[in-house]
Amino acid sequence: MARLLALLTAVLVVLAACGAPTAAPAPTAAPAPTAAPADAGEPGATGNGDSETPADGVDRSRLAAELRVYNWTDYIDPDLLDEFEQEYGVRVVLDNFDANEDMIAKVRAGGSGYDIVVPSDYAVDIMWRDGLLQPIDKSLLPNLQYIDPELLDTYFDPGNIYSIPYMYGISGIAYNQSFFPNGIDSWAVLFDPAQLEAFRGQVSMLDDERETPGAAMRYLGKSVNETDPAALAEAEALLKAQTPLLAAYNSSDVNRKLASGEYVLAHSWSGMAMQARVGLGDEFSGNPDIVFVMPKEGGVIWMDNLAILQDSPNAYTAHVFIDFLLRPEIAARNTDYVGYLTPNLAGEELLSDEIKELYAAGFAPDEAMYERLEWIVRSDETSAFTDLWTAVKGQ
Amino acid sequence: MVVLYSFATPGPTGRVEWTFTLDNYIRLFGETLYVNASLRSIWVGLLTTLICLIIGYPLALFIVRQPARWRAALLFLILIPFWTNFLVRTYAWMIILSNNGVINTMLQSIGLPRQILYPSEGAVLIGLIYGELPFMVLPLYAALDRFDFTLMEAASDLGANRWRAFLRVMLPLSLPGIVAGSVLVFIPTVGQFVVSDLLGGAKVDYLGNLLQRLFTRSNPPNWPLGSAMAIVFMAILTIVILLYYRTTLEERR
Repeated sequence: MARLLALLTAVLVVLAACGAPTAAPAPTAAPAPTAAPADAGEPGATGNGDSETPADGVDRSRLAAELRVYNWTDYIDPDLLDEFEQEYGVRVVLDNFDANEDMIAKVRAGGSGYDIVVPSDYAVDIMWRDGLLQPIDKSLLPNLQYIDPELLDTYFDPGNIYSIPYMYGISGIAYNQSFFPNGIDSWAVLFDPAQLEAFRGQVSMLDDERETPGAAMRYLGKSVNETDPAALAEAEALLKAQTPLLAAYNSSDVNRKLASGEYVLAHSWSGMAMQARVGLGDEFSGNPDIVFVMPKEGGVIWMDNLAILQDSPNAYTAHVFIDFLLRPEIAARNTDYVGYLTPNLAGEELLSDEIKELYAAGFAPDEAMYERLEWIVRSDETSAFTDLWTAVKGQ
Repeated sequence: MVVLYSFATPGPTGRVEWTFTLDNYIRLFGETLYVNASLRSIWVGLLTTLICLIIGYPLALFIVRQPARWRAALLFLILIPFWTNFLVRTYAWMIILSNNGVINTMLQSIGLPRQILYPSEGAVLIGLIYGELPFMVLPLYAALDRFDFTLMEAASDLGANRWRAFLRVMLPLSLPGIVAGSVLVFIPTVGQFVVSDLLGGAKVDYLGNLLQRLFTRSNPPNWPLGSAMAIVFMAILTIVILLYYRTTLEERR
């Protein structure tokens, strides 16, 4: 009888723990929530009731056994996941996506089962407005102090209520310098058919309905967010003339195809070009001829962010994982691996010399370049880009 | 559900607003790009079906004419690729056709220049035919297996040459197999989007790509338009298949 009572009590405790996170406010407007859902214990917790807190401030008893992360392809050093598991006993399951739109669609459908997602700037904006993200409890992120204040409190998430900077980068041109001995300084190499013709079938553009028309807009001397119908028509015509000369629209394995020589020129994110240059862990080796340039007409700057899904059952563990990634030493190793730019100021100093040199050689923006860089902003008018992109592909 | 969605209005963030509208259907028929994608898909579907039939029919006939113990083994060979995931087989084609791939390496070793074989629409066609061929061969095999080959002898006794005997006797009697195989090949081919993304370099939209984009990739997603498209797509397929059944099967009577 006593056993039965104990069992019942245990079940009740677990049920109460389960119920707690859903009681958190579901933010739909722009609230500054006070109740952090992560305060509750987690249903999957393996704890034994002993709430002794070790020196690092992480309550092991509240950790879940597994954490599910939905991240961009080739966007985290897999060794770090093993290290996290060794340190905390939490297995990190990783899934990949290639476009914000894909990720949002999966999350919006509900029951995705993911805890952490990595939306870009404008995607954070969409997601928190739709109530897909839960507020971050900054008291659980002591390492947030290392993040560059200039990259906090952005237009897409004022006050960083829902997101923490992960990596940022720029979108420009990656090319194989053995084919372009004089270098490249303009989008014309991609948008002037006379220049592109020579490399027919060996060139790719990002498969992205904002980035790709955005590049065409910059070539035309317009903003990447320009929605004036005349400019849209002009960009559409440029892209339609370009399509037949391309090998592909590709946002997933440009790094591998540049490194192998299949592409000699590509519209690329800076880190993807970096991976083509230095290789990616055990995945593939680099090609020393790959160079990255931000054309003189300018291009896109973006930032990807760590965010916790509203329906994540493991919010506490998710915070612990985010804080782990914010450690300067971890951030530096991760950045060395993926080749993008880290918002972690302390981590930046710990980067390898090779990466630092390549940053200086154009894989990272310098002071002068910032004037040519622009954020993609989403508004009611920007759905015009969906129509443009559909028209380009449907020609 | 899909029918309901197709008359709704897309909201600014991608949520569906329940305001009745016919705009989705008007857009589908009014804008050339949707019509183009549909025509392109149907064209590729027909082409794939036709080529599968041209390759599949002699293949099925060949297998049927073998001694019984070989037949099982040959059918087995046709089925083996099925054990591998369709995506894996498509990636295999990428490796075979790529610039540094198997074919180009062979071409170079005999002194010929490299060809850009992939990504291209030809590569899409190859991938589709490869993937769908078994769906054509199996129904044809079933139909030809039931065919009584002594009828061919009877036909030639009555003065028909081989070609005429084939056209007037064997072909009509194997029509159910041809119809079943064609439908099995045509439907998935028209709706596919993976093969055209992987082997075609995601450069042009087929119906399946367009649907995928409307539901997931676009920003914001447009479920109502996607639903309308799915309905029209279904209607078109139904009509095409009914027509096909009528013209081929009723002819026999």
